[in-house]
Amino acid sequence: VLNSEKMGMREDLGTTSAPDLTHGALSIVPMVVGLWPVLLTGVYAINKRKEKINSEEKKRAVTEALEKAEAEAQAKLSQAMEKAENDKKTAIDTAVKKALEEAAKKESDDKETS
Amino acid sequence: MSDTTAHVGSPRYSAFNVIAGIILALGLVVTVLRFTGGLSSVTNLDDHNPWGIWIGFDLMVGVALAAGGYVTSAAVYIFGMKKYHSAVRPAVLTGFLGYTLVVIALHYDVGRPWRLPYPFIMQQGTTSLLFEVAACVALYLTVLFLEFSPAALEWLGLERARNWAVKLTMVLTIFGVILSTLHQSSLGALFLIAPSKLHPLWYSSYIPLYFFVSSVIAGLSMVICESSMSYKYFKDKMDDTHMKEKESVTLGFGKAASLVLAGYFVIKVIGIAADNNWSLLATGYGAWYMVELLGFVALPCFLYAVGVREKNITLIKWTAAWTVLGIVVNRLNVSWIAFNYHLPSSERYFPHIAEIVISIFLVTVGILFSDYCHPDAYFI
Repeated sequence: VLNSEKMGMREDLGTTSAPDLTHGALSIVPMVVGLWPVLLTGVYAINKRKEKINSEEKKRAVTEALEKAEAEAQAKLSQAMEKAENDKKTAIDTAVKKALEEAAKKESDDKETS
Repeated sequence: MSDTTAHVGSPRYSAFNVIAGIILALGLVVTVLRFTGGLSSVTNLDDHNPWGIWIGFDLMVGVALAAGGYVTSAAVYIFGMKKYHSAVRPAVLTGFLGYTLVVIALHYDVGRPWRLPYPFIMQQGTTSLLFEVAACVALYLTVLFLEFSPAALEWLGLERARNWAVKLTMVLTIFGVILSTLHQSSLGALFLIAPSKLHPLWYSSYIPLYFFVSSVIAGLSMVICESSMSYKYFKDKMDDTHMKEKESVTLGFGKAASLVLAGYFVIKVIGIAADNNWSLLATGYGAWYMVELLGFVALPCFLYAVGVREKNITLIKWTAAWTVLGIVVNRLNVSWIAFNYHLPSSERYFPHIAEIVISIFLVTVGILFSDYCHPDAYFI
């Protein structure tokens, strides 16, 4: 009786057919084709959005910083202006007061002389 | 182009040129023998061993090492890592050259190479993994050609066509990732059909996943290797952006490679556990498996991590070269060393000298092509 082992053929190969061995791997192919583009486009969109938000935030931060700086400068300026105005007023008041005092003094001196 | 020719002709390259010339001459002689005398005249292939190193090395290793193209373009265009932009073009060029050589190598290995287009025009055979492999090689080579076309169109001065090609970048990158996922994994899946031939430590139902994940590692490591090689030989032709980004590419890719290697190590161990192959680790093949797993997966994972933490560029570069060697070892283990492990040594395959000559010939052709390519292909 011939047996396959004597003919140099193996008998420990099991009974699973070749297509059964590769069926699982091949069945995933359409899923990869279908889902990979969705996933990758999603990752791309997330990154694009992140970049957009980043640049918007940067722009907003710059605008806010500029506005703040401008407001601060304006406040400083008006403070300085007010101070200058006050100083001016004080100077005028002092000068007027001084002039009046001098005029009054002169008037009393004149009276005393006459 | 004249610059390139001049530097190749310089004395620094003369020894290389002589050796390359000898290899090319030998390769051409074997090519004539192969296509006049058939496979049996130049190979040791037989019914037990229908695939030799032309598949195990030229195709399996070639495809894995060409993965830098899809890995880099996905990182830059999809994952938004724009700081690695300067690495895209050299990686795509290497991918394109690698795949072209794989297709050329296939012409040597396939008995009747003129029938290579048959899966598309005669009979599809969609239940065969080889159909998937054929479809992916053909489609991905086309995608790489289109991805590379902006560089070619720039040289030709076709500005409008170039702008059109650039607009396709995103779509081509997604196509490239899909096709590479399928192609890299299908090369592993080819072995699913042979549980009785491939040693159980390497045979696993996860083998398609192993091939895919390891291709990412190969791609990252190849980009690091290329970047250091191109720096060595083309330093004077690099623009400022390339010089500035060079270090960040090495550090970033090294970090990514370390992470992916860690994941790869874990899924390899899960594979052993899933098939309960622990006892096989105590055998001779088990020892060799441990060399691959610890020496070429765990060790580079650790060394990459150390290199990145200490910003040690030299360590990262050497680790990249070691990792590339590990990928070669893995592909040769699966396709050759652990394949037909049950056969007596007299029936085991060892490549014919002519097979080795053709493999070296194709690698040399690849190096010469990269070398002679216009520097713009690397650094714009």
